[in-house]
Amino acid sequence: MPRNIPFHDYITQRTTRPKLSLLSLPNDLFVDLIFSELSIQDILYLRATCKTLYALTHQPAIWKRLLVNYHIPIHPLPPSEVYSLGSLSGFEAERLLSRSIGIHANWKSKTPRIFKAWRFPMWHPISSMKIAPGGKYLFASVCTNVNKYALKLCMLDHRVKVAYPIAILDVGPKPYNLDVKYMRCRGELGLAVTYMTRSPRRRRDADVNVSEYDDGPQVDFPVPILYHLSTFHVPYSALHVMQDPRFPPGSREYWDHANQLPLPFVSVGGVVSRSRFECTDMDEIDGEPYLVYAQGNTIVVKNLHSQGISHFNCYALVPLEQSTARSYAIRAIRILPTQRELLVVRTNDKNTRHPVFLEVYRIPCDGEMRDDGSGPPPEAKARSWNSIYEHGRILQVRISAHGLPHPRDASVHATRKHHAEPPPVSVYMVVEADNFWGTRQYRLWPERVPTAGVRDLEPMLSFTEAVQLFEAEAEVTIPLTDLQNLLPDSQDGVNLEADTVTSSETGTPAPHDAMVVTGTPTPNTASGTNGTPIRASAPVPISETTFRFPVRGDNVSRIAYQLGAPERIRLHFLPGVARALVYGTDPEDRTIAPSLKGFYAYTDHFRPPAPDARWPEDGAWRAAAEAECEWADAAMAPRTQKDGALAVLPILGVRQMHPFHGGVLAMDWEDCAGKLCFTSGQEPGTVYMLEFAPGPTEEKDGHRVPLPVPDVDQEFRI
Amino acid sequence: MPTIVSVDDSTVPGEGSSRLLLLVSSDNKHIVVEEDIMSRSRFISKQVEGFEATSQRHAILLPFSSFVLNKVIEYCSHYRGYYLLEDDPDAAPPGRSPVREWDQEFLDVDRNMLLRIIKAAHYLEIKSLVGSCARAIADMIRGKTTEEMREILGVENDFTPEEEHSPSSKCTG
Repeated sequence: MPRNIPFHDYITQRTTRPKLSLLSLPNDLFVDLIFSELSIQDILYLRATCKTLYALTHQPAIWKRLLVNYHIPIHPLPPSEVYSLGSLSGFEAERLLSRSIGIHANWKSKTPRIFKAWRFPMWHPISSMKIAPGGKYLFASVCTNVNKYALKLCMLDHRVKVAYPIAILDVGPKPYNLDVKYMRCRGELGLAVTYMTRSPRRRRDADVNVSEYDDGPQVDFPVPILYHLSTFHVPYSALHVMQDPRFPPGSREYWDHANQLPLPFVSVGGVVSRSRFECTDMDEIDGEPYLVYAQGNTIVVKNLHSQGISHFNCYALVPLEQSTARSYAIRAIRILPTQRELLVVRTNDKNTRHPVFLEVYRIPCDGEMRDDGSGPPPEAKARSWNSIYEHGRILQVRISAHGLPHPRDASVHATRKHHAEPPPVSVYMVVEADNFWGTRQYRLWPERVPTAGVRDLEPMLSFTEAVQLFEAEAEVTIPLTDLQNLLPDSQDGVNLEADTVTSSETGTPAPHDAMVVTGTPTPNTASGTNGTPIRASAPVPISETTFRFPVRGDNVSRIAYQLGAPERIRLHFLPGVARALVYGTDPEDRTIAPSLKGFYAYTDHFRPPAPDARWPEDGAWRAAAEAECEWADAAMAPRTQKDGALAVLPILGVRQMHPFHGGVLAMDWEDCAGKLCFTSGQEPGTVYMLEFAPGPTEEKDGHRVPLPVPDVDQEFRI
Repeated sequence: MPTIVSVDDSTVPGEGSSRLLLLVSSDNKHIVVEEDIMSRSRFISKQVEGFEATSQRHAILLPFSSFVLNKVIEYCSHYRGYYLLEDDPDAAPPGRSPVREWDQEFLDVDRNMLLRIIKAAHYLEIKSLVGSCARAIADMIRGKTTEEMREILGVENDFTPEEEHSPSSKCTG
């Protein structure tokens, strides 16, 4: 009772019907009933009303319920039970949602921004790095001594330390071309990391430091060298022990504990060769871990469990003259695990007016096409392919990661409704000729098919050409000053095959028809009506379906952005899964840490094809996800088709120092959680991490900022 | 002497098969109501079980006014004999309360009244009515700005200016 009011006044005040506050309701009514009716946006606005609601809106139950019920795609997590719905903290659940909505809206916005910038020491100079899917771990190749290199495993997203190194593996020569994936090896779930190294072939050359040379293909080494491709597995059980929350990282107890533990790295496969490894990929197919790499025209498939090796040569492109057929080089590969196929992109470097081949090869089962050293690899025919004429030199080819979930995901993704569509697999290219340059994107849309028949599907176009000729004259040329306002010149190829048919119907054959590649005399049946057994079959329940990425005329869309005359800038793609980051460098800059000449968020503005009508859930799911993101999209001012594909990203100065000064030594981009890690040439032992998605923040004692919230699940968590 | 108010003249005490209950509101109004109307309330059901154990029937004192109580009785009479999943103590609770049109019209009242009804329903443990009221409250605050929400909820801004302007308090958007 206030002291200065006489008692009778106080009574009368009480009886004059004060305005009732909703806060007089029991708290569980808010958390269980009212908040369950509200969207994330409403809950965030409510959080700002008063301290009581600020605390109530941090209840884990609210965010876990939203996480399960929301339709937006959530970024991948380690597929372990540590991240299951029951074990997830409220903070982590809120962060997952906030990041997934935020990066989606931020990447499409006219002015994408950086929400947080972190800086953490790695103690040793870094030469390359790779973030694990979902952005929870970072592998970095570091130099520990002269000609001595190591692989460092860092944990990211730690609630107190943000990032800290948890294990180091001495390698010897410099590891490069790192790739990281969650895979099950020898029955244990964990992180698989693969990398390349090189060493002198002859013992007497052991003093020659071949690690110091560039990792690209055009390097003449002074001595003959050997190439190594190594794969290590870090079981999740070992990782989890290292992250024991009882020992805060950096403390003496932590180091004592960590030093007692055995090294978590388990070697699961190594390959030594005299020739270069062009590109690698690894994935889990039918529960077995596979490593695939390309050497010249040969694809080698290694089962990391049984160590069995199969190999085959990519189909020699017979219809072309033999001389050009040889100049085709494998530029990028990607395993498509559900369909047990390998996407291969081949281009011709000798001819400036040449087709790009998107091919799909079946990955041989164990025992097939075995490499027993008896002779050259057998030639395999692509199951389906698409060849597209592109002008100019193709400088870079990158394939995005597929967004298919891990088949035995035990994280919160298993609890969510698991029939969400993955993003398309995109092939990104940078094309340059004498009078223009630009970017190309080929999107392979996922197609829902019954799980039972996904492998048996015959290619839709078995060597029927789906060749499309794109005329440079028809494309829009934009002066370079408008780089951020790139206009799409065409969305050709939503139906490549249909386009071809149309042009022949109108009686104006494409001028370069003579170059159309005809593989087999299969008649070009009109516009995608090739009857397939799967199209005709009755729909199966959605739980018995999966996705595949067919390379088929009506399924590949080409998005080309054309720019003016080549300037002193060369674009590079960091593809991610669904959101590519593009940066530019000076083509003449051959230093180890080239300086950045531009930094862009790439978005294509083309809507996905309509979902398969046989499974109406897909359409409903897509519409619901769009509705859930609408407010965030509106808040961030999305760019439209008119604004172009690229938006300039800010390059932050951190602590008065411009971290991009002195060039970039190493960089990696994780697009699902919106994390960019890089090391500048000025500070080779420091990692900068930029977050492009908003997320809640927490203090060391587990309290949220700016106000403390009683945290019910503060204890015993990572 | 308290005045005795009959809820519905057509249900004359003694005629129906259902037994009668005497409810006393906080403003000392006595309301006679049939037992099976109020069986939707877990609170009343438990009281009645208590009566049967001791074979003594008392008036049930309720901490809210007759105005609110009549509103709750109106709700219970409307759903007399209906099965509502949320009110079934043995059924698994549904994730979200279903939309019922009659409830929406019934709860088209001012916010103070809505608040009193939800409190009464919570006291009487009528889950379906609590759910409908919560939905009505959520409808009031949905899509509003923070300032409008403060007005609707009747709460004061008790953040300090530093806390309010901290960038992390607005975590998304």
